[in-house]
Amino acid sequence: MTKAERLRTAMEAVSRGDLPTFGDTLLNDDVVWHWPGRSSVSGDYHGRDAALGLLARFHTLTGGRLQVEPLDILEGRDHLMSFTHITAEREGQQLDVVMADAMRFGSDGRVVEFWTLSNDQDAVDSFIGR
Amino acid sequence: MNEQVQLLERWLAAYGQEEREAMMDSLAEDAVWHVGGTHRFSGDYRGREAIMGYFDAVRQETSDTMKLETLEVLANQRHGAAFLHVTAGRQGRRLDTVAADAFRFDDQGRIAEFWASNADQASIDEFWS
Repeated sequence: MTKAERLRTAMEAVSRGDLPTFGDTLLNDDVVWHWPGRSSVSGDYHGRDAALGLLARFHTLTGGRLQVEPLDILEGRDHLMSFTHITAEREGQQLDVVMADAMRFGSDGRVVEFWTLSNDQDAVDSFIGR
Repeated sequence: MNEQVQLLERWLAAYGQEEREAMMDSLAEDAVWHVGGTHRFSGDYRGREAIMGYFDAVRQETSDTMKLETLEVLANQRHGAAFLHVTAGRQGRRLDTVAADAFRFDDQGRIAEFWASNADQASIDEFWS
């Protein structure tokens, strides 16, 4: 399975609400996930369980309100970056950003380091909540 | 290797060698540079001049010690990614981090937008404090 195929399989699991399959498919046991900004979920998460906890919280805070339009997946030797256009509306507040999910893969073919990048971090922070 | 990977590699080389003209040529006139974190340089820089001014300020603050080691560069016609090992020194402090940089290209293949994340934003904020 290529890195991009593994990511797509994992994202399909997320869209069904199946976080354990997402974790088993994509994340190394010792993954480190960097979530930037100043929102209530910002920080570094060490290990698969912590990373899945982050995702669960993110989905609780934003669940069902995000429209995700895939733009591009760039796959290389050790790394992958996935670009998505994210839009959402809540109580008159608009979110319209491009996210870039950056990943470094380990020798087992799973992600050992994950960065979630946004081209408007303040907007993402406000939408998640501080 | 595709043209946009070459553009990003040329751009990184130009940054390392302080070739201002080559750096400018790779940037769209109205390019936007998003710098994250909560430090003195955090914020959005709009337009070539503002972006070059940001690079000049970083160079000055770090006494030219910032080094970008390319780990991997990826790109297609619309987007690019650079994974870099970044080191720098400033007032006895040391920065050593891996940065994931995202790029969007305009229809002429120039860098139109940049945003980034670092392995340890807190240490970067501390470095610039």
